[in-house]
Amino acid sequence: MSQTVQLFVTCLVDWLRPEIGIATVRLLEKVGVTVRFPEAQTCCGQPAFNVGRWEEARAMAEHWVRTFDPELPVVVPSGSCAAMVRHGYHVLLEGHPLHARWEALAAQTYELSQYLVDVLRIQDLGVRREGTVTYHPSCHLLRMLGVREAPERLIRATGAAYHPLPEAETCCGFGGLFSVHFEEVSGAMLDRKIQAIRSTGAEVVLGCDWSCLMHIGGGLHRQGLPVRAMHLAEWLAEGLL
Amino acid sequence: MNHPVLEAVRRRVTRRAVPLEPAPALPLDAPPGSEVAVQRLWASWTGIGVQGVRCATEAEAIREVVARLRERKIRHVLTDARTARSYPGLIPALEDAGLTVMGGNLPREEGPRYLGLGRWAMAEAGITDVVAAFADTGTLWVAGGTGGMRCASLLPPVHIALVRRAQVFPCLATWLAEARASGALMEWVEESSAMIAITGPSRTSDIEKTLTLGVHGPKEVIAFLIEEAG
Amino acid sequence: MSIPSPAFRSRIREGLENATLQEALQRAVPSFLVSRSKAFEDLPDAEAVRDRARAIRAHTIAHLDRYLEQFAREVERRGGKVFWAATAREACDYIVNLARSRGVAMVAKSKSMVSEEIGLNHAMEAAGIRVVETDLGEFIIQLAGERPSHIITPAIHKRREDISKLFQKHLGMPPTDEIPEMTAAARRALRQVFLDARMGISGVNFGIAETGTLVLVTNEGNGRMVTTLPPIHVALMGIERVVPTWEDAEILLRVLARSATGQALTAYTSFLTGPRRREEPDGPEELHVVLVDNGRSRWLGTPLEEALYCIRCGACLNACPVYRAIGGHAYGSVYPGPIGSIVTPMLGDGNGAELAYASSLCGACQEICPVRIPIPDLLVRWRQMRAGSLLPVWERIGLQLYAHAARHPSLWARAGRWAMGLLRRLGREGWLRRGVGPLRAWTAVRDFPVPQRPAFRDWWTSRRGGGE
Ligand code: SF4
Repeated sequence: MSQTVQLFVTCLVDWLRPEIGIATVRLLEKVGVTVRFPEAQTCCGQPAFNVGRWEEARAMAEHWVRTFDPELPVVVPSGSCAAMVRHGYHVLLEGHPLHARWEALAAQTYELSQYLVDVLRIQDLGVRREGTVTYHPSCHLLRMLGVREAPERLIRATGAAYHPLPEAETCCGFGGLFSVHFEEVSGAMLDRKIQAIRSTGAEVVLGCDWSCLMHIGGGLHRQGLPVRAMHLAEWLAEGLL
Repeated sequence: MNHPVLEAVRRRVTRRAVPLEPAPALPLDAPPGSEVAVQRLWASWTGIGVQGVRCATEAEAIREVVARLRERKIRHVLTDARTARSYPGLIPALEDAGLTVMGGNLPREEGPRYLGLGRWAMAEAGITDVVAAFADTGTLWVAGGTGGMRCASLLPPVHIALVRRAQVFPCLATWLAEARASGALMEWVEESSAMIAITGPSRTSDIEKTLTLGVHGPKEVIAFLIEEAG
Repeated sequence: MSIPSPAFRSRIREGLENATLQEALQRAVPSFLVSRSKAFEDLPDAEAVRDRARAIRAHTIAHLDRYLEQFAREVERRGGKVFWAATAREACDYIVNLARSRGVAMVAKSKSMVSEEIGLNHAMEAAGIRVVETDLGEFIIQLAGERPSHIITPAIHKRREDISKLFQKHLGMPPTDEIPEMTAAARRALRQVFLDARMGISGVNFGIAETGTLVLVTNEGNGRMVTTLPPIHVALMGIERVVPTWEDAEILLRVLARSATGQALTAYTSFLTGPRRREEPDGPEELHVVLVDNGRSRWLGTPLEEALYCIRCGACLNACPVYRAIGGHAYGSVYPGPIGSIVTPMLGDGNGAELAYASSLCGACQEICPVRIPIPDLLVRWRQMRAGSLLPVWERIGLQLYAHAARHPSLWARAGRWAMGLLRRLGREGWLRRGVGPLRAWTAVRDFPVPQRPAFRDWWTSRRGGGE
């Protein structure tokens, strides 16, 4: 396969969990994809967009659209940031000179699991893993990108024991700045998610958005539970070694 | 017509064209009175707690109605002129069985109206015919209009409805299409201040989401399905 | 400014700490969702029905003037009286004056969210007219002197023991924990109210423009009672509730009960056209339809217009994880839940804009909404429209700096490295347990994972330089 893609690593992964970015590169290269990393990339602007600071968000959207090459697909290890590019920019860049360039980019901007399974049609990455895992579908991945099955397929192909999460499609309570504006509500939602995770008996809860995983993992750690929250890419890449 | 509210609306509406999505499939597609429709009606009644009784003839239905009323030791029955017209044998049979039949028109003046309602409220059962029944939901479609009483299906704790096979429509949508085409819909609207779709007994889940029947309307709905045409 | 405001925060706490409420929400809401999806599975072509329902709402709102005018004309042609109320006050005044002029001492009311919105009960009682709520849930709430916490099941937060106590006190009922007995006691008490009331007030689910017909659904039958027994029927209707034809109403009915209660159809669906006719044995002698604007028309043609498509089924409340965590009262508004957070500041005096922030934007509401209102988008719209005034100053400045850095990659890289270095030093074994500044609220409920290694961009550079 002689695909070349641009990696939009996302600000959160870039700074807070580089391991996910590294894992993404490894996985893509494993299946023969050439990865480019436009170094001028920063943040998609979602935090500003979601709290209603659209001027700032628009500035970031413009920067993003200028940074990436509309000729090549963009792969993002985050459902939420991919959704921002695909849907949020639509409103932000309405009637904007960059709109056409954005359209070309949005049409080929994919979340990682979506890119692997739906675009490349690969489910088995040749990764073998053991242990018991569960998977939390993050809301924007699920509802804005419509990615339901791709991550599960990748997980099942590894041979790990996969225990589906009860009420999986209920929000974990992260919600960007919601998690700090309404920390008590966010915490209550998190408690329910953690209960559900515990009921599966899994050692690892997987997901495709580090934002939600940071929140879930932080809750698990606070409660002293021996369950890890891991990004799917990182977990898969560990199996490559 | 003019009013500041309407003016404000007029100033702001977009009047944009909205593509009308294609009409979805009917909830149930079957000819009125067909076996498919009747079967489904029966199943729906079971699902919503309507007691169905099948009768070959009108006469049999009337006998059965009297039997049910006796079983329940009912003495006062509320019914209306339209039902009496559709089922001429009904009131004589009720009276022969020693039941008090209430009906007629409520007076319009406040005092007598109040007293009249109070009397109707003593009825232990109400009997009505229907305009139609809808198989997909088990609905009894009743109406006001000339001689059509709203209270008979509402005030008493037991509602008895008489349905003929030919009145069994697959769903409200089918009835509407037919009534629209024949002009019956507009006739109903002109003559009747109320058309009511009754889908099971009065119910509530307001306390702890626990289903309880007979809150304000009837606790029991008994529907007689009559094979014979009217 | 802070989000949430102190008052909102304390209502949220009350909700979170109210064990009864929490238990009720845990028990009631999941079963709602199960019966709702079952009801939709049984509906042929369900997605197409939703598309059609949405198109009907969109078309009506786009041509609202035309349909409202037609509706009003048809109501009047068949003997009903139409009153246009620009404000809550006008609506209340009209009804109070009507009641006074007819010597009405008691009113039987079936559930109407619009009446809550305009504060009708209060206005009536101030004028010395007794108003009795007849929906069992509303009746309970009224006895308790509270406010509904859900638009479909208003007393969802009450346990049977609470209700039994209320009935002992107000209806003189002996103690019981049998729900049917309590229901029977309410039936007896309210039956007399229906007979005695000289005015019945109801809401309206849909107004059919072509014939001026009011469509009203109730399960208990109280909606039929208040529109049949009292000599005067007053119907309160938001101006957005109109639909063009009977066929349109039929489509909306296919999704309304399914979304609201998981039933294929509500027990009673009344189609009411005008007052009692000459040849009719019963029915109200007078019909008044009060069309309430109260701010709605302001939003036509704006990005928030779609909120007017709402058919008040309540499904988005049940689907909302925030609602399920805090309950309806925490919102402090007549309309709670996701749609309430949009609609509340649209109506009346426009209070409650902070509600738009009380959402994680998960999208469960949009997914369940029978008319597919993009609720998260509208919430974000509200945030955008009011953001400048609602976000705390330090957040606004923070976002400005952040956005500035995001457009200057080398500044971004330097600032990022500095900040991450700081975080790494603050963390212990990869975690920050007690954060300060922007991280304080985060660590109030969960730990924060600090970075374990240099940024991805640095790895990339070193790798390209032959590092790996
Ligand atoms: S927004 Fe949609 S789901 Fe919520 S109450 Fe309105 S119609 Fe129902």
